[in-house]
Amino acid sequence: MVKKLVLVLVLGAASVWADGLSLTIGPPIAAQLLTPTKKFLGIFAVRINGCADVSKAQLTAMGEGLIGDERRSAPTRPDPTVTPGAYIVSRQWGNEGKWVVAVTATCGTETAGAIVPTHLNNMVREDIQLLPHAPTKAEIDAALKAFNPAQ
Amino acid sequence: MPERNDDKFVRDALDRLPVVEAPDSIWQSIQSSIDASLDAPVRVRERRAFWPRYRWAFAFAAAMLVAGIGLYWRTANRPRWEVTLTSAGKTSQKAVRAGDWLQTDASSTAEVRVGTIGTVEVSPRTRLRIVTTRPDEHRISLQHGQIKATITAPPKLFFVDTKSATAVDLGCQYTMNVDDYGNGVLNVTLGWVSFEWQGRESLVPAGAQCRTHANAGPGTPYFVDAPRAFVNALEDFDFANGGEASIGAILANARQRDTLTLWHLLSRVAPRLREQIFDKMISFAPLPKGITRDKVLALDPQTLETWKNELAWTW
Repeated sequence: MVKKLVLVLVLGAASVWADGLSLTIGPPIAAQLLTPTKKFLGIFAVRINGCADVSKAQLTAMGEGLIGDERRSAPTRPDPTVTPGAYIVSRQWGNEGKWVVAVTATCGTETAGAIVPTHLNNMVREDIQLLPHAPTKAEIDAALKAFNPAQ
Repeated sequence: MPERNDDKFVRDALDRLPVVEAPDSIWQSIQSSIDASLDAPVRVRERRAFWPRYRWAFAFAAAMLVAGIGLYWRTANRPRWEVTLTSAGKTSQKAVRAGDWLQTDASSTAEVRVGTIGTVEVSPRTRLRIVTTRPDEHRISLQHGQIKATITAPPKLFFVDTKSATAVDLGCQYTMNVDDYGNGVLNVTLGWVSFEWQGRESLVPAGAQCRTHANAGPGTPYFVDAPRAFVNALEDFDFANGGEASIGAILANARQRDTLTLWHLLSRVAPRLREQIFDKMISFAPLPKGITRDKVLALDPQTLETWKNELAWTW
């Protein structure tokens, strides 16, 4: 567990200074929404790094859940914040089952991604995966299978 | 000369007439005539004198009347907050305005709608006063007890005063309890709160809390899941003159996200201890671009702000 945490922290820190496109995931308090009334719904904040023109960057997020044996998907729209290139992702699903959020960012020809496990209105930091590409279905399924928020 | 003789005759006749006093009625009649002739010009003079003498009094009275009407209008129309009181399972409604007190007993609670920006839930055994209800400033004074504030508004519109600190909303949800002396704790569940007193400021994010003590003001914020030894050492430092020994225990027990606390301590310790804290912080994550050791140790405000904003992504 400690090794995992260290790995995530290193990856997270590295993402900030990497030359290519990358993402930083943090708590909602790391970003401030343009519309304050919506911030209470935020699970986590995401920041796009390494994009020369973040105004042209694209960010999408999809909730991927497993309720019993049933797979579900629930799109969620990242809300822009006062910081260009930083967004807050909100929960658009219920309390049942376990859910991760697949995040994909594009800037020009580059793509970066992340899989963020969630528990109710919180992200589970130690299980975040930062990826140099959009999350694949296999990666999402594997993350859902491995993720156990009750632990 | 016959005329001269006539004059003499008349004078002699007059001299011989007996002197008779005129009746009083004649004198009264004369006096009335004189008074009547004098009355007209006197009234004119008095009318002319009246206005210069009293016009300021009338103007003052008129001004007071207008002011009174204005005050009444303003009082009747000043912003008010709707309150739902719950006691023994029964609810009732009332409105409160600036200057009003609100108190709950052991078996009652209240929910205050703070204009259009949020709500304040008032726990039992709580006493507070409504201080300001302006659209640009909503302020209450918490005497004792506990409140839970949920504010959805731009920052710095909602304030809670206590005897030892003021909670400044930065868009948030939090609970705050305090005793009659000003000892208490602020616990933030969403967003940020600035906890301030006499120039000292503690920034408390969601998941963190901050104690405040009478005559000492707000302490240093910490995450509620911080190790017990870390919290104990922090309390010693903040409120028991723990000094260097406390800092040693704080650093020994700090985790990555405890950089929230360490960041605040940078500006609250002597330079030598500041270096130790800095070294501990960069052991968790390297300094971001643009942040230098020298500027941090010199407590450059812009540098500290930038670093805090970057650290928040790791909390």
